[in-house]
Amino acid sequence: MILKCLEEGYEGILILACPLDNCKYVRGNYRAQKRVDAVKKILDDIGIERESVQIEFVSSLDSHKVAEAINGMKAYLAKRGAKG
Amino acid sequence: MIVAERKPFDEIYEMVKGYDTVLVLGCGTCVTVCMAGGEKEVGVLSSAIRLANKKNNITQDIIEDTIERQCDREFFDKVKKKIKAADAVLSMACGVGVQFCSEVFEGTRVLPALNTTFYGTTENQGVWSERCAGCGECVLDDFGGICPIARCSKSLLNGPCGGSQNGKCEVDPENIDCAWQLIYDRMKLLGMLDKLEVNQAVKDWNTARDGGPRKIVREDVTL
Repeated sequence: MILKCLEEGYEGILILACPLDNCKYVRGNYRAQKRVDAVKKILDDIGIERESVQIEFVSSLDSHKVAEAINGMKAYLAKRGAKG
Repeated sequence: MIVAERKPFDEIYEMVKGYDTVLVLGCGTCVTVCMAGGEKEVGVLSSAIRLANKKNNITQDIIEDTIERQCDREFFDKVKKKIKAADAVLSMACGVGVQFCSEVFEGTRVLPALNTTFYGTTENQGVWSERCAGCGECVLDDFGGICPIARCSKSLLNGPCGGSQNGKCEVDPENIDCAWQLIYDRMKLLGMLDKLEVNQAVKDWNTARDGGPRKIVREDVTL
């Protein structure tokens, strides 16, 4: 799914998962982290910046953290010269 | 099952260079279970190749499909047209599947995306280990169901060597159990330690790879 998004032209992907140790599916967020790490490894192989894919662990109460994560990704994309 | 792992991306990318249309073909049996060459892995590898092509301004059609088995002729019917239309097939099957695909479609270039490694089991999710060496003459009845040929680094049949320490093999004490420790413990549990007193004769390796490529013909089931 992440690679498909990149294929379709999205230049940055931000994944928001629940806080670690607080997942409805127990270890779902840890597994998501592993998947993202695997995708970053693929990006390394291809020569695409690994920061193109980011994961943050936030809860619905952390609106400031959500905003921070989104702004962080926007800043990264702006720096890369992509459309935010 | 046959356990394999994907080749490094660079090696695969180099292999598919220069072909206009590449069919990435997965296999739905062993390599799907060991998460190396099933439908999901076909999707990931295909995406990676497309992304690399995009980055390098290379035009190449990457087509995806997965069949039930690449080691049996009838399953290729489903993808026959795609294979014939492709300039190369990047097979995500084990070495058997790659060779058989190449045999069925003689005029087609078939490339291996995996390194086929061993016959093994899934110890835990994401952990596979060797259990059988396919020696052609099973001796598991003598060793409590633990194979000294596949699981002892030296394939010893008459007890451990001096490299067995604390139940581990000197070849890699962190990751390899001493097969003979396992055999001893299992035989003790089964109350069959006396069976280990019997000296095993020198094994006839003709039934293994040493006898050349093997073939089984069963007259009762041939057509």
